[in-house]
Amino acid sequence: MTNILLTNHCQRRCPSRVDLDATEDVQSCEMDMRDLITVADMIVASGDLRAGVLAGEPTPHPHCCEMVSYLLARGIRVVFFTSGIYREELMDELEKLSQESRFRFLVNVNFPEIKTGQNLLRQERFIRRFAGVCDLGLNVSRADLDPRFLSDLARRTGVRNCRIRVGLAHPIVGEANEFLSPADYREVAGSIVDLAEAVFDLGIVVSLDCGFTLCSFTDEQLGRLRRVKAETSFICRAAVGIAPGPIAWPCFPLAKHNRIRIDGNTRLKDLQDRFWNINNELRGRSRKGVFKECDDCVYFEHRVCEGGCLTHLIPDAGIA
Amino acid sequence: MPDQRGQPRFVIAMNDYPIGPAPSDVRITSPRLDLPRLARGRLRPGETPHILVPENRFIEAPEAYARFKKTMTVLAETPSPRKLLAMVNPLRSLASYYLFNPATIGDGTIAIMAASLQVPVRLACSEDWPEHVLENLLDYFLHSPALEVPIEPFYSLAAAIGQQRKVTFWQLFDEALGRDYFIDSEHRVSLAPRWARRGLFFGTVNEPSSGFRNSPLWSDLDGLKHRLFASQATCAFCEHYLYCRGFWTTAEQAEPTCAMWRRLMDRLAGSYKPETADA
Repeated sequence: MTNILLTNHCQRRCPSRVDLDATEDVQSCEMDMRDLITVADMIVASGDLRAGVLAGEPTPHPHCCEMVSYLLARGIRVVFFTSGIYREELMDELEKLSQESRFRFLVNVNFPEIKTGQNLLRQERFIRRFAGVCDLGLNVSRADLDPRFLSDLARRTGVRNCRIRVGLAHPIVGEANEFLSPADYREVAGSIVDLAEAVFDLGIVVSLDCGFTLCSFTDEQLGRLRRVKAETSFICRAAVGIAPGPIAWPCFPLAKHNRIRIDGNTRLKDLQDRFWNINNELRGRSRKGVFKECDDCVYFEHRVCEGGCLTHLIPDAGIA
Repeated sequence: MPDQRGQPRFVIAMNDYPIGPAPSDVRITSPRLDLPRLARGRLRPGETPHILVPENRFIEAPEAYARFKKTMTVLAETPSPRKLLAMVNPLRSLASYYLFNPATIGDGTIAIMAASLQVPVRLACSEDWPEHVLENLLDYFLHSPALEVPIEPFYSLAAAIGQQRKVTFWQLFDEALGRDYFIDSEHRVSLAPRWARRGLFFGTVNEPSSGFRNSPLWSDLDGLKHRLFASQATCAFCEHYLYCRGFWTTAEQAEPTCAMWRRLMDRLAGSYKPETADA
């Protein structure tokens, strides 16, 4: 799935956010329609008709709904990443979008203990209103917090038969963001398994985002995840992001490290291959994974696990 | 002018024709050049009207135009992404083309957006096109990996270049001598609106059409090729003459328009000539 950043505006100050304001070659703060057409062409030509629309928060973009409508009209499935905190006047347009079969919201929820200036009541109201087309997202930046608050939230809002996408906060190259240390992965793994079991009766499955390591989970935990249909992958795939410019990068944590300006001649497969090769080269110049055990790991050797997020390794590669 | 099957076909354009939900500009294809009858609004079986509908009228009630499916061009008036998205489905299913002129094209983004949404796009015949807009559109036409519909006239020109077929600007812009006729509101007959605006006519609908060939306008147009080569004008040495046939020499701003189209044709020909593609 290709991620399209409509704007670098966001009303929240999440601890692990990417500060696009500081990216010197992103000329415009907002994606314009001509660039979006270029991106949509690239996606359609690739045959992988999926796009995440995000930012920051995409709704401050003045033509956000038109742009999503355009992507849908191109036959592209859209996952709309949002905080669920909107200007009221957008609600009718979002309601229309939500009736499209190829459209879903992914509402990014923060731990209640983390203060980001978000209005939790408004967010909850939003989730309740769009419960039928909502997935939830959680980015874990601290090990001491219990994600099972999402089970309560789902029960209060009526969210059913969907996914909870759980990500780990990774270091962002060139930024002093808050991220989770690999030393805490085992503790977090346990709480994720608890969450997956707590929401299974609602038809909700937990889906692990990139950067998890296989060995963070015990065999017993992996079995429990399998029993509740959790979606697990420990492989690093380039989730190409495209920002105003249009500028492409391999993923958010590497947004300031590897980037390329794209145009109508750019092919998505070429971009993915390019980023894949650069990432592999970086891995070759450092230790293999986030743990020293990765160097001799049979699961790493056979690509069951790629040893966590590459950005943890970049200081070793002498890049940062 | 004989069509591909050898049967004569004439195309008669008129404004505000009494057809459809509201009077519309129309182009009627007919095997007969019966101008008095057509000017009275009477069509016979085998005569096909192609109507031009302003987008603001179309968007109000697209279903009213269902009987003109694929025999209708929608004219962009005040195009916007929002408006295009609101009418994209009927536009795709009913319209042959979404037509832009220099006053409505803006920077070309809406036309490109329409083409990307599989709405065939057509550029009106005009001497006022900003070159950078046509360049943008040509660039999109040449390089978009997902384009599946024509952007005219580029598509027909590219097809002609690639397949070494004969197509001229006169045909593409509905000014083929002997095929195309335009009847103005005073029932005078010309080749096309731009000739009528200059006060140049073949005659009137009530005169025998056989006499049109004796008009100064017909003679001028018919003798254009000879004059261009006899005077050794730029056209005599232009590699794009095959497609242009001196069309832009008849423009009011002949030289700049011609030079712009030469540059555009250079790009098109460079991309579509078989030997270039093989290289």
